[in-house]
Amino acid sequence: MAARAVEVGLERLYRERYRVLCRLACAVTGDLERAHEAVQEGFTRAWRARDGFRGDGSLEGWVWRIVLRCALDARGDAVDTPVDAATAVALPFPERDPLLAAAVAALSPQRRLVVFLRYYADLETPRIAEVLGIARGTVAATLSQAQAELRAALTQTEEVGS
Amino acid sequence: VSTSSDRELARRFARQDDAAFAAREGFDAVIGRERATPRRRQGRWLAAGGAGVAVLAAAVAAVAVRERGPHVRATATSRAVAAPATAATGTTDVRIVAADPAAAARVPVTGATPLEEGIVRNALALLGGPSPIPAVQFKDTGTGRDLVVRDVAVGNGADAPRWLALRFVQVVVARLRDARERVGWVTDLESGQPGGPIEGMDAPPPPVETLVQAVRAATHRGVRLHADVYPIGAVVLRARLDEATFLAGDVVAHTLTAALDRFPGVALAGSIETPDGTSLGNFGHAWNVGGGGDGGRVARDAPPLRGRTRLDFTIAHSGLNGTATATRRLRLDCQTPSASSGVADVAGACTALMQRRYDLFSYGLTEHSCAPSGGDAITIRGLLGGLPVRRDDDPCYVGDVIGRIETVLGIPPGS
Repeated sequence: MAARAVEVGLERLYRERYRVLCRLACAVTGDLERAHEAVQEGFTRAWRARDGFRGDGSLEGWVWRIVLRCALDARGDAVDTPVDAATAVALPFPERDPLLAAAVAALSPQRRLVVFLRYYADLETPRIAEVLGIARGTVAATLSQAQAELRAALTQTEEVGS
Repeated sequence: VSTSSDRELARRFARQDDAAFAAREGFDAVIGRERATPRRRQGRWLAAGGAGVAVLAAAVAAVAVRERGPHVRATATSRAVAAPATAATGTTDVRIVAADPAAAARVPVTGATPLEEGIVRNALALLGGPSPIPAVQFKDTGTGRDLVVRDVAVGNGADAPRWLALRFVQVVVARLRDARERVGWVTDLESGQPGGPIEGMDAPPPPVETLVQAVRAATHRGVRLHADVYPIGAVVLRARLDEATFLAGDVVAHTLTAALDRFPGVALAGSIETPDGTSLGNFGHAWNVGGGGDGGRVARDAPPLRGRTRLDFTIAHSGLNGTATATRRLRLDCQTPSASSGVADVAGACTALMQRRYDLFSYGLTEHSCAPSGGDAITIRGLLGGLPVRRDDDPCYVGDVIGRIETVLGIPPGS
């Protein structure tokens, strides 16, 4: 990928995807300030390393991985903590929907992260697979199981609460 | 899964969006400095002459390694620096790890050009011996160069795994950059899976003598501090707290690292231990890569302390939305049990708190930030064995400490 194309692409991603990147960074760090720092640091690292982007995958997937790495760093995770499906995330505003917060907290870490990437980061299955470095089929299956689990938990909770 | 379910989840997650997530600065503001000088790091190490830095000299030597071989000069063995005058009752001893070209020469380096191999071996030498890195590989991907450093051993007694290897990678990347070669991708240190780009260092590490002075400046009352200083610009700290300092709970990672944090080129790893050597946790950082965390603890019986034990506990439980649902206040007075309140078995609690204090009073070493998801908190004030105790713990730090203390005090956890 030409260097200029990467630069233009990074600027476009910053303009168009900052908000969702920041959302997920906040779900990882649990702190708004650290989330902003992680996203900005992620773009700074990506810019510095832009010559190393070889275009094997999408630029957006590459940026997502870097930002998630920065969010883990900002959270204080060990430097060798992998950016993978076990990355812990939580709703930033659980008080806005306590039932959903409880339901997603009950998911396994892998299902939870896939759900967050799908619904909170607005990523489609292929992109989630790219970000997490897993097969698309695995993402689809995980997402399907998580949806079923969430639907059951939310239905049950709301029935009990009504 | 029905489409309606999909839409319903999307709708509910949308309520977690917030205007506060919008970018606060434009792309130019964030990247502007980088954009203005897009190759500002190129050759910066080499331009930083006059510093008299061993690593810098090694970098220069590495560039010429094709003809002359590695140039790192090493003393025969690592040397200890005499303990300096202590501050109050704190002590600090420092060991300077000697560069070890012989150990570096034994590490297999494959797929490297002569320039790359020279740079790698010089950097390896600065880690001392035996090398914590078993093998290094370069791969030509067709569109770039990959550096593979995998199966890294825990380095030279440090409890923070792989940080020294990360420093090694940063140095190699920086020196290759100085030699106008870019490594676009560094394979994950642990799993061998592709990782992210790792940046080189902007500035050369400070001289070893400067690091030693900074370590000495970290001397703290009630702390027995040991430091290993590596010529690659890395420092390992191991701090053993005395009883009073542990119970006071006010020595954290930053207490020890503040003096070293002034130097941007330093990679730091450390641990803090209770008086019997039980780890409270590890901390550390390397260039542009944060790190830290609390290590596992192994509960052991602690020796008894003579002196009065009278502790006040405030335990607050909160609901999911952060609203307090229950707050308990208890007092434990081991010398005057009748003055206790809320504790079913005073004698049992006194024994347990004294014996298991290194576990029950463990605390976090680094600043964390909790999601605003509610949770529990505990405050402890008073004396244990005549020594002041102060704890303000919440789930950000040691999640199950509250539950364990509740058990000791005879309270059903979470009630």
